[in-house]
Amino acid sequence: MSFKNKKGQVKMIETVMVLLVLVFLFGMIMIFYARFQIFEIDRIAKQVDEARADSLLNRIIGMPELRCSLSFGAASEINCLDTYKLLAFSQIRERFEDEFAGLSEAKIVRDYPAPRNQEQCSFGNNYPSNCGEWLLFKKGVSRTSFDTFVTLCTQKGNGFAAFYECEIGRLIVGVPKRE
Amino acid sequence: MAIKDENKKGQQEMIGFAFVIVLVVIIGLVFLLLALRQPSSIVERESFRVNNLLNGISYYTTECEGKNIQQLIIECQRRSFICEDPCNLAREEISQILESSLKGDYSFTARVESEVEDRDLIDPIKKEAKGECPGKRVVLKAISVLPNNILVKLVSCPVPKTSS
Repeated sequence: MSFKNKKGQVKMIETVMVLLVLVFLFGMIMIFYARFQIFEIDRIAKQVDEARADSLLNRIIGMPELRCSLSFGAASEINCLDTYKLLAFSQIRERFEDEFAGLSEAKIVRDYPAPRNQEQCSFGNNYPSNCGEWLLFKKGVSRTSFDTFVTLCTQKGNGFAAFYECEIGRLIVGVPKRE
Repeated sequence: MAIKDENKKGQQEMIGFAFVIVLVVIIGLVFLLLALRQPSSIVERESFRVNNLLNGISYYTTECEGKNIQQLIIECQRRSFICEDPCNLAREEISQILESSLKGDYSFTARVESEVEDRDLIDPIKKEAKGECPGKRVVLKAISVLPNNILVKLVSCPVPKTSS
């Protein structure tokens, strides 16, 4: 009788031990899965931020407030930005903050020929050759940034006729840091 | 008879095991390929970038009578003597722009391709000696067609940018 009892106890302990190990293993898997999910959610959120910045990159180039008008001839059909429009826009950029929702920064920099200095563009002598960048939007810290090339054109006149000159610039947008 | 049955059962189990291993390896390879593939959004972004750069180059105003590079290439095809040598001037400007703008390898060509004429207008500009980025996974091409059957092509092999 006592031998049978002992055997039963050993079997019960064995079952309890197996259950404990199973619970421990299950717990470990759950923790691993939860951590993986958190990592995945963070990765997807970053991807969404980047996709939004990407689409805004295209939208900013197409903004009528910045684009070259038809007076720029064939250049108006490409990714051409009017430097005088850029200057006017950068002076009143607070009014357009909604247009840049989802970004931490948006600016245009002169790329080629290299500017004499990297100063922010403002009204003054020798505009636009006296400066290096136009700030369109700034809010918070950037995690990463994307850029694309743009054609920066300036309308000029020599007293007889109007003409335009173009150079190469870059539109840079910043993707905000997630808290 | 019993030994024969056991042998058969063992063989079946071995085949089953091998099948499972092959299946696991195939699934693993598919995941590896998916992980190594460049996300299409990055390729699209870079493609947009290269196209925009080619547009920018075409409309860049040179010091040659206010003509842009597109006009210089057309003058080059006409073999005109405007600003001494429009072909060379265009090549120099394009080389400088590409060098300051692109980080990876690239090549630039401007050719006239028609039934009566088929030639390079300017000597091809290449950062990589072997040509159009051999062995690279992402090769982006932007092509622009100018009047008189002139074909301008920019090939870029961007340096992959990783976002944090």
